[in-house]
Amino acid sequence: MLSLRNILEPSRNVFNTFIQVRGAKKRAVGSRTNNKDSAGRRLGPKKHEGNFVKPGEIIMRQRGTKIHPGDNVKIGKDHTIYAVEPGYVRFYYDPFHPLRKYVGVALTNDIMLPKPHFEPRLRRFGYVRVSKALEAKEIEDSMSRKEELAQPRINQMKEATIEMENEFKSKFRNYLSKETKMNEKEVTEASERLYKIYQLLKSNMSLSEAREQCTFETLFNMKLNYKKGEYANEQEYNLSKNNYIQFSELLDSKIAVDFEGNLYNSINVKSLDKLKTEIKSELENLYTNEILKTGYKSKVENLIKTPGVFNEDEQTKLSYKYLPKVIPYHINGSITKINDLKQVPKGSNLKQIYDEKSKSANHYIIKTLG
Amino acid sequence: MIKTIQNKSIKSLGKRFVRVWADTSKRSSSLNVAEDIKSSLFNEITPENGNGAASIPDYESKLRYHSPIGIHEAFEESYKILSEDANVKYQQLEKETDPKKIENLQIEAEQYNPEVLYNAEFNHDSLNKTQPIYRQLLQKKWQDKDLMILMQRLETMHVIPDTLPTLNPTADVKIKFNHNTDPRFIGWIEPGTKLPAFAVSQPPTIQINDFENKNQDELYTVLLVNPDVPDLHANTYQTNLHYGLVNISLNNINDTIKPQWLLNNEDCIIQDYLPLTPFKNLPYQRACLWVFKQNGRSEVTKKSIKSRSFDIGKFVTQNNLNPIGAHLWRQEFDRSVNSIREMYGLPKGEVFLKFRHDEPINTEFLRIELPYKFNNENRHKYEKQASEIEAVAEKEHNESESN
Repeated sequence: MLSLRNILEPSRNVFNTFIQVRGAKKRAVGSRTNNKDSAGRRLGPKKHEGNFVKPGEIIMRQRGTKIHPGDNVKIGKDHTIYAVEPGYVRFYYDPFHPLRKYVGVALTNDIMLPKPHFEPRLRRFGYVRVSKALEAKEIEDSMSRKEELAQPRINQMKEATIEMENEFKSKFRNYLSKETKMNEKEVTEASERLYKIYQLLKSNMSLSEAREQCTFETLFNMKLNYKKGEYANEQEYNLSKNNYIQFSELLDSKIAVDFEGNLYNSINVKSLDKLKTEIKSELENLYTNEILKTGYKSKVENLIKTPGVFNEDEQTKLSYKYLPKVIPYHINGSITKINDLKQVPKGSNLKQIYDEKSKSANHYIIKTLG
Repeated sequence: MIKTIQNKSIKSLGKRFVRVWADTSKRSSSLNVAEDIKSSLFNEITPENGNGAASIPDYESKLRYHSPIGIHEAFEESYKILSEDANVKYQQLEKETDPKKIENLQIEAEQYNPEVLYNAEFNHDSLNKTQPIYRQLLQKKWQDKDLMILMQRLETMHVIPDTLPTLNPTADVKIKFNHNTDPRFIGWIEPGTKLPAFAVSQPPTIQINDFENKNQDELYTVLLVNPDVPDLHANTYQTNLHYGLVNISLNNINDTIKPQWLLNNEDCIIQDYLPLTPFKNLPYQRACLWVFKQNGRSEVTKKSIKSRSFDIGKFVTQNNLNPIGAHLWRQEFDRSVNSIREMYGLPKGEVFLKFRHDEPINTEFLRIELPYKFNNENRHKYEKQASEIEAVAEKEHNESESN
């Protein structure tokens, strides 16, 4: 039977223990609201000023933030403040929040909190170095789950880039051994340089910048190798440096590469400007006179893609201008009006165009670039 | 209605209207827009002339577009009034001798010029920074976005005060690594970005847009420090110098430090570039790049910097440097670190356990002098405050028990 007597008496209740019951101070009769008396929550400071704490030790239990968390401590979801670094407990005021009280952990016995605002933080390192080589290698090679899952994709990408690289380099090598009188070693060096320049051109660099960058990288790596002691002496280092500069200048004067990886004979700066204006005027000429003729499209495309004249950006701008998707209607012959829809020849591009002046829409056959 | 207003104001302006902004004899030609843009900027957009609005790419939509009624007339009218004001400023300029007032007048004369504003909006990479108006517009643009990002990163990542106490930037510092061909790492780096070691394997290109620089050659110092190098003896961190440049002469046009240029000017380098190579299982390291303006030529050379370990605060005060800008990127251990270490001839990287131990800081080996130690004066006051706060904490205990 479940009665109060059964529960309270240790010999009778299930747990065989005493249960504390506080004596009623109020009269029980008629008071429904005053009999909710919980046990004390054991709040308050658990560590005091100057006490040593280890990470995870609770410093303060509270309802709300009577005390705020300061340096090297954190606050839990019930506002419990606990240490995250070993050190000495400090209760303090912070001039940035004059109404707040803080508790923090000072990393050494003799320093105050808070630290002056413009002083660097004092931080504990706390990591353990792995001294055994085997163990170290194992830890270094270990991967996070994310990294491990990404491995197949990363390897695939690596293989693809290597494949592309080899493809381009062999293409360059063939071209160079056919067109120039370079020896085997020079051909490899040149194809490597050209490949790097091609990569840089793809990232929106100009040809001169890319060449400069490529030379710099090689010289910089030579300098690093010299510091590592891979050259016998300074003379040898200087010699190979000068050799490379000469070689690159000679190569640049003869062969260049464009952003699509096509090789062509170098054009010098003066004739390049001339060529650019020439091609542009020719394009303008074609646009005004031959836009409706067949063969216009391929002519313009060839002109725009003349190797080494325009970069990627310029080429897109020129094709936008001279190879429009729709031939502008104001050009005579670009559209022909259709009066009878039944007489339209098969396969022609028919479109309804609204005329603002007459406020009417008519059918037209639209010519496309041929 | 519009026409009558137009006629009226033209009459009121009379013959005084001068096209001062079209005049290139006294003004720099960089204040005007390119010829092909000029026609679409100043002329009315109608479908008949076939050009249409430049911002609409589709041909048929272009044909349908009409600019709002009266906007062209309103534009022309305001242009007349504003250029008349500008003309007054230019007349004042001729008499003025005070360089500060001259600059202000130059700015005021051009600040409403539509061509200048167009250039600042759409060609901001290639502006002529010798013109005060462009400097001011660029500064405004920088303050509105990039400066705020920079300060947020410097503060949240504790570059200030871990390296230097604080910073009031007056220059826009941009960095990029030109050797990269991976599209993720091409172009200017946003402050605080996490980068892999291979993306920073060669010295950065640094652009310093000093807005205080008024067409002069000035000397700059650049320091790249890493405040997160483990100091195992003291069980704390130390700061290393990874790159140091002094006596870099820059002006408004020549504002970029290219590593190619440094190859032939080695006396500017006080510490060779060394990329950060973080260790496995350690938290990220910060590469903090500081830019200073020098007061005269610096005598520091490669020989005076003896080790990588470096006290940046001391260096700055000793050399009387004025910090004007900063930048940072972050690095963690990645799979390219080992190859980069090999490339720079460094020994194999160390490995640490994932979890930290509880060993406290070893004060014996601490390299820095802590300025906030207890002494006889402050101890009494401090203890009084602490006991006051502890009493509040105790009160919490007492209240909870008596409920």
